[in-house]
Parts: sequence; C-alpha cells; structure tokens
Amino acid sequence: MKKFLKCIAAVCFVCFCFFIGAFAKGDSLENIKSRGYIKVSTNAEFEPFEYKDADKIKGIDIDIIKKIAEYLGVDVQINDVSFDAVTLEIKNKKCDLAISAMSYSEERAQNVSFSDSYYTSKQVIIVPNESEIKSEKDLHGKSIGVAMGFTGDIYCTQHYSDSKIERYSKSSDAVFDLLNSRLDAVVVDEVPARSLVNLSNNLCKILDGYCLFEEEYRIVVSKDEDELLNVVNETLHKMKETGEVEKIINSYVKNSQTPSVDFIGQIYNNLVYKNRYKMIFDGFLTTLEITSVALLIGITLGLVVSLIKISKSSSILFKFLKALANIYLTIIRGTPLVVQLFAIYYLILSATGLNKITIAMIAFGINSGAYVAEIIRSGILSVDAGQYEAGRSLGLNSFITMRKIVLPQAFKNVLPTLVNEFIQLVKETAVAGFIGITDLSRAGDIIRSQTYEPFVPLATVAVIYLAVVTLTTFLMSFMERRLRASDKR
Amino acid sequence: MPVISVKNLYKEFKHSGKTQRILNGINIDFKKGERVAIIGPSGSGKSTFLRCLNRLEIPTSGEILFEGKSITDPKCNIDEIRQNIGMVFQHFNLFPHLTILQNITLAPVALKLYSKKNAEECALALLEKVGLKDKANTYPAKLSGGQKQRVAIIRALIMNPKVILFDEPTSALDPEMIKEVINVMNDIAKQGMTMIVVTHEMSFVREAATRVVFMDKGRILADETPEELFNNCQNVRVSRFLQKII
Repeated sequence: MKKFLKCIAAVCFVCFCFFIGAFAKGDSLENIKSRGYIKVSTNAEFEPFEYKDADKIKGIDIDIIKKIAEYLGVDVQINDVSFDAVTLEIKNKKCDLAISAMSYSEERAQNVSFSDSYYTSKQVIIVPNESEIKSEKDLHGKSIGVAMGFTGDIYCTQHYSDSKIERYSKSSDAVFDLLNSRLDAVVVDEVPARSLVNLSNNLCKILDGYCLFEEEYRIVVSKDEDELLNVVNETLHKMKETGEVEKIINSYVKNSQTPSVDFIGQIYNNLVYKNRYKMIFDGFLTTLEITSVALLIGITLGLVVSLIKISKSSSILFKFLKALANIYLTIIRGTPLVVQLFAIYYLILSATGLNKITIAMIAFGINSGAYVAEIIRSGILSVDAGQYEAGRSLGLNSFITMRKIVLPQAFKNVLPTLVNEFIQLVKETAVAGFIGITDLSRAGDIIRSQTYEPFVPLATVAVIYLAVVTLTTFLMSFMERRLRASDKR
Repeated sequence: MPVISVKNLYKEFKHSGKTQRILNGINIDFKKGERVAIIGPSGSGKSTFLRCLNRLEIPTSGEILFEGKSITDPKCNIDEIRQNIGMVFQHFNLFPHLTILQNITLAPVALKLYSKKNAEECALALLEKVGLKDKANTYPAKLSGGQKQRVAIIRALIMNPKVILFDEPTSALDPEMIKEVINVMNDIAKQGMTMIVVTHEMSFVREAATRVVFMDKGRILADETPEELFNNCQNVRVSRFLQKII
C-alpha cells in the first residue's frame, strides 16, 4: 500500500511540475544573469543561418545571438533541436531564446512572442537550368519541394493547392531531388538558396526576379517574457545602427566550394575536410552510449515486468502491479517509438531538466523493456513447469528457484531473440535525431546537408551500423555455443 | 506421533466451469520407517494426493500435518517443511543447465545446509554408491533414463529428508532400466527411510513395501500389508485390478 501511495505522490509531483512549467511568470532575464549564460534553441540545419561545422554550431543567427549575449554580459549555450521542436522548446521553457531563421506566423504567434526583424529574407524559386518554369505562375500543377514547417511550406500550401507539395526535412534533400528530376521546383529562402545552387555546381538556378514574398526573420521568446523581449529588441536596433548585422551576414556569403571530382575527393570532402570524421565518430559513441544504457534499463524493466505478469500471487498489490504492467505493455507496444520519445521529452520529463541523452536512454529503455518483457516471459513459459516444482520441492524459495533454475534456462532459450532486440535497438536509436541528438545517423545527415553529396556519408553510416550488428551476431553465436554445451549428447 | 497425518482431504479442479473432484475425503497416517506403496488405476488421484503432501498441489479442504505441524495453513513456512520431504518425479526433472554434481549440491549449498566443499564430497560419496561417480561432471542430457532417476533420488537424499515421496519413479523408464532404480530404492528402504511411493512396480511392493494403499476415484479402498493384499483380498475392485497388472 505504501508503494501505491508513493506512486500517486510521484504522479502528483509530475503534474505539479507541468503546472509550474505552464503558468510560471516570466523571470528569465534575472535567471539568465544569475546563471551567467543564455539558453538558446536552434535547428542547426539551415546553412548559413545555423549549421554544424565539425562539432560546433555556427551561422549568422548564432553570431547575432552571441552579440546580444555580449551586450548582456553573459555566455551562450546553444541547443540543437529539430525545426518543429524549436517553438516547443520555448513554450516549455527549455530555453530562453530561439533563433532559427524564423518568421512571424499567426500559428506560431499563438504559442510564442516574436522580436523585431533582424534580417529580411526572400522566398525564391530554384529550378533546373533547362526548366519550362519561367515565372511563379508556372508553378501551378507542378511538384514543388519545400522544407517542412518552413514559411515556404506554409505559403505554397496556401497558394498552390493545385500543385503537389513535397515536404522535406532538409532543403538540400529537396534540391537533390530537383536535380534528379523528381521535383520541378524548390521554394526556399534566398541566402540558403544561393548556397544550394553553388553547392550543386550551378546545375540549377534561382528564377531571376521572381520572389514569392518577403519575410522578416525574428528571434522567438516565451509569451510572458516582455522584459527579455525589450532587451532583445533594443540590442537588435543598436546592432543594426552600427552595421553589425550586415557585417555578420556578409561574412557568411559563401560562393562555392571545391567540387569533388572523383570518389577519393568525395571521401576527403565528406570525412576528412573540416574533421568531419570526428562528427561521425562522436555520433557513433553517442549511439553506443544510448543503446547500451537503454539495453540495461530494458532488460531490468523487462525482467521485473515479466515476473510480475507471470506471478500467480493473488494479493491486492500484485493485482495492481499486473494491471500496471498490462497498461505499460499495451501503450508501449501500441504506439510508435518516435511518439513515445516526443512524449517523454516534451511532456513527461520536460520539467526535470535532464539532458537529452539521458532522456533518450530512458525513452529507449522504457520502449525496449516492453519487448524484452514479452521475450523473457515466453522464455520462462518455455521452461518445463517440472523444473520449478523440482526446485520448490527441495525447499528452495520461489526467488532462488527462479534465479538459479528457471531464469538461466529461460535466458538460454530466448538469447537469439534478445540479441535480435538489441540489434533492433541499435538501429532504432537513430530516432534520437528527432530531439536533436547528434547520433550516428544524424551525424551522417548533417554532413550530407553540408557537402551535398549523399553517397559517402550514407555509406559510412550504413557500414558502421552493419559492423556493430555483425560483431554482435558473432558474439552471440559464440555465447550460444557455450550455453549449448549442456545439450550435447 | 505419525510423520504425516492426513485428515479429510478434498481436492477439486475447475475446468471451464465444471468442477471435478479428484480427492474425495482421504484420511490416513504415515508412521516413521513405513514404506507405503500407493497403487490404483490411472485417474484415481494417486499423484494428486502425493503432490498434496508437500503442497505442490493446494488442497481444497482438509488438513495435512507434518510432525504435528499443519502444512495446509497458509502461514506455515512451507520451504522449511519441504526440506524434510524429498520428492522424486516421474520425469526426473533434473536441471539440464547444471552438471550432475551441481544438480545435487545446488539446494543444500543455497540453503546453507552444507559448505560447497562438504556438499560435493557428500554428493560424490552418494554417487559412488549408485555407481555414477564418473558422471559427476557431465550434463543430464548425456545420461540414460535410469541414470537420471538415480541422480534425482540422490538429489532428494542429500537433503537428509525425513520422508521421500516417489511419484511413479519408474513409469518413464525402459524395462531394462527399471531394475537399477528399484535396487536403489530397495537400498534406501533397508536404511529405514520413510517412503511413500506411487507405483505399479510390483517388485518394489513385494520386496520393500510395508503397506499397500489402493486408491480409486479419489478414495482409499484398501490399506493393508502386501501379504494380505496379494493373498486374500476381500475387495472385488482391488482384486480385479491386481489380476490385470500381475
């Protein structure tokens, strides 16, 4: 009963944290000053405004934020998340400011406040060099690539309802499809559009003189932070007057990069240049880290849940635990992993202040636990009931009987399935990129979006996953052979 | 005082709504040093009755006393009582992931009755008596049925139980292996162990049993010495059964 009360208390605490998180009055400015740094969220996949260079996040927006921080006399802590998550981060007070080449929209304004503009961007149309699209009118009925959730997406959805709008998570992917004739046009912000055209070695072009519309990039602040918003606006004005903004933008105008002529050049460009291999290696370590901790959580949780499910005890506590275990299994096995990860990151653990990697470990662990529970349960059921009876008839209690007699046999029976679950988990952790963790997959994605050459990063990432899985399979067959020693006649 | 005393024992199973009565009011005492053979047609409740004696089956009603203590009382420490009631199963139930030696020493070491070293010495001595010392470090899968059952008997014996229950110990064996198991059981009987044996093996009944209990439809129909049973049985049902199996 005590445990039950504890559970209720924990649930109440979590609800309370939500409540505080949702309705606390803004006092960020004081917090920032006493803390000594600003927490800023961005989606570092929008060159040249914000992007990853080796393990550093750079860009026009980042430099602007750094200048603002300089005026405030504090440091900056940058938090890289997916673009869809940037406003959520502000709404949930996971950061103080968000800057991600974001313009005003009514939908966004319902949840967050916008600063004054620091840059005017134009939405331009990229087409292949030999395109029949000559003006924005020709876009009707064509397939148009846009970056999902960006202004181009919202604009085209409204104005080109007769066209096929393809939404990409990265505009570089859209341009890649454009070059492969899967798209007729790409609508994207002007500055990145120039970079993309340059990076494609001018195989496509910006439709001259046609700008779908202009938009103002603004910094995003939480709704109740008027004081912080004022300071940001004042600083932006000063920076504009002194020409600092323009200086920053000019420093990022990049004309072209050395095209990779051959395979060796591609490898150099994607893995060696700017120490990009380091990003892959760090991503790999992150993937391993998340997977191994998640596996430990999963096995522990799975073992406990399977034992609860299998127990024949009819006490009230056990009935309660069994109901809980069933709810857990149903929810986890019945919903997609990404949804669970988002729910845990943005809702359940958002108030705890745990870092992303820890949250990912917990989320993947909880997910894996449900599958492991069913695997172990089937393993236990596969052990003959006579084994348990023989143990109990010798006077061993149920705990020792399970530990010394039933579970070793159960584990042996399900080892291949358990290893399969591990293999699955290694690959599923690629989803961690959705909450902005630079794991192995995302490292490859980031490089791809910078170099515009998909083959080498994708192949490198695939080979590393393959190597991990192959090694695991090898270790398993070795272990299995040892465990099977007792079966030989 | 009897070692085990059974009073008014009933056991019912529920199968999809239907209640099936397996044990129908059993009263019996087992005294120290007695070797009781329980015989009867299949489905008569012999095995269920035996499994009630160490609470592998929980009786529906009635009472079982072990040395005067009720084992049907949910509050009793059943694990402690089971240490004193050995059990040998029809299908041996050796632990396949452990060696023969580990099978035998697992419980006494886990329960701290012996040190690991003492338990191993004791196990080896017992294995030697039944001619299986050389198998100590092999796994059960490598043993024949008769060898497995002898190991299972030793696994029960090393706990120094006051009673050993045998649940059809020879039914799963090939005919030529039955003898080796029966010999071991007869040896144990000679040392004065209290034994309750569900069996159809008449050579054990004749040589070692001091009492024969005949069960049918959850009731005890006869409870006599082997001589009485074989030579002048009054009960028609019992004598008809005996004619069939002898």
